[in-house]
Amino acid sequence: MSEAFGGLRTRLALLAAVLIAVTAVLVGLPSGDPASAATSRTQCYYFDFDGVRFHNYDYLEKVDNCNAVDWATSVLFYDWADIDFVKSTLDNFGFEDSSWQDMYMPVRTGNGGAVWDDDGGKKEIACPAVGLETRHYRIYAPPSTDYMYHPNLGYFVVGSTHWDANECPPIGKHHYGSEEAEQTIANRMEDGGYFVSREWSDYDNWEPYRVEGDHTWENSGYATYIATPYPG
Amino acid sequence: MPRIRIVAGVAALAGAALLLMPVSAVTGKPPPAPQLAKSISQDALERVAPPKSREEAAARRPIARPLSVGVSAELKLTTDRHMAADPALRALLRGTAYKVVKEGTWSRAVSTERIGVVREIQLAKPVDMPMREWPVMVWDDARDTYQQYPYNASWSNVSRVTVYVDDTAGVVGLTPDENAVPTQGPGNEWIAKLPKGTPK
Repeated sequence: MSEAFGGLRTRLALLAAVLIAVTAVLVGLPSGDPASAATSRTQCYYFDFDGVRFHNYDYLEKVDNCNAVDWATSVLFYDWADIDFVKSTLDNFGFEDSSWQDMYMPVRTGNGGAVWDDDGGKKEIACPAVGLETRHYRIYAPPSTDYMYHPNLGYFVVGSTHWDANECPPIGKHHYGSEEAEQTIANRMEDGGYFVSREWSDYDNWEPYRVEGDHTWENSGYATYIATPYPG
Repeated sequence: MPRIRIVAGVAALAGAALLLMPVSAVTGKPPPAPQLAKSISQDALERVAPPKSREEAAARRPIARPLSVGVSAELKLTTDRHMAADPALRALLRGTAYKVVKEGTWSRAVSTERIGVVREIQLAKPVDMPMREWPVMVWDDARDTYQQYPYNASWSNVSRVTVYVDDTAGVVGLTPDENAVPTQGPGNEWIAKLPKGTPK
């Protein structure tokens, strides 16, 4: 009797241990979100018209998940814009250094489904040291064309803007100022003779000032439009 | 003996039920579900089309939205108290007046749990700071939390500072803006141990 009881007690103890281990594993499961994900957006949309599609945020990875966006879409270059043309134009306004960190946006033009584009974008300083800051933009269009097209917009691309500070080494590293960087690009291009329409279109991505991790949100919700005509 | 069998049976059933339960029921947290972007198709072209003329662009008056919604009065008091007690901030200011130009909540990036408050302060005049240890906040993406380090440095021409305040721990980061000039001192060996990561 006592031997049988002892055996059963051992089995019960084993079962309890298994239950505790399973619970610990379940409780300790990672969420599956990317480590640098920003907060869930309640206003995460894509514009969809006449075969064209672009989003009002860019993403940390190639997954349509509003819990994992990077920055609000804040600029649209139109008329004769494609990725290389806009980047070479902005090189002349101080954005000559490339970034190594890609972000992503699903985009579409014409027939077919949306495709993910990736862009590291360009900065004024590739890796700002302690006490230095840099503006940074990324622009997106389908990789097969490097532009989107609609008769009302011409050839166009969309993008996000922000600042990076203290990245190399990351002593007090932080990222901020999407609205301010948008206005800086607008100022420089307007001074350079380009037709700039500030805060032209409501992209439903208003972000009041607050910080998530080292990512500071601050965005008006309106995108600035910049005409980049054929240079000839 | 039959009672023991019943207990064993109930335990086995409980174990099986635990295994079949969703993670959210075990952890008490909502399941992490992707939130898909929604389509804006109605009037989308009208919304995104550029202005037809400079006059049309110039006439646009978008409804202004506040870029800051601030924090509660209670949080303001807590933050004021922490900032007034912080030795590094007191050493920097040495009585220099400042105003809070931006203020918002500070939360974790993934869990969104609130940590405290972040303020950007504008000093009444630029100040220099002799060599001393500054609290530096370094965000740890992998653990979704911050690490605080003592950065031994002097700074000149400090006029604007971002202040990270943990509701519980107090001031954990002071970051001057780009107009300030740092001179790094000795004793910052921790910098070599920081994960290099990729500049964003």
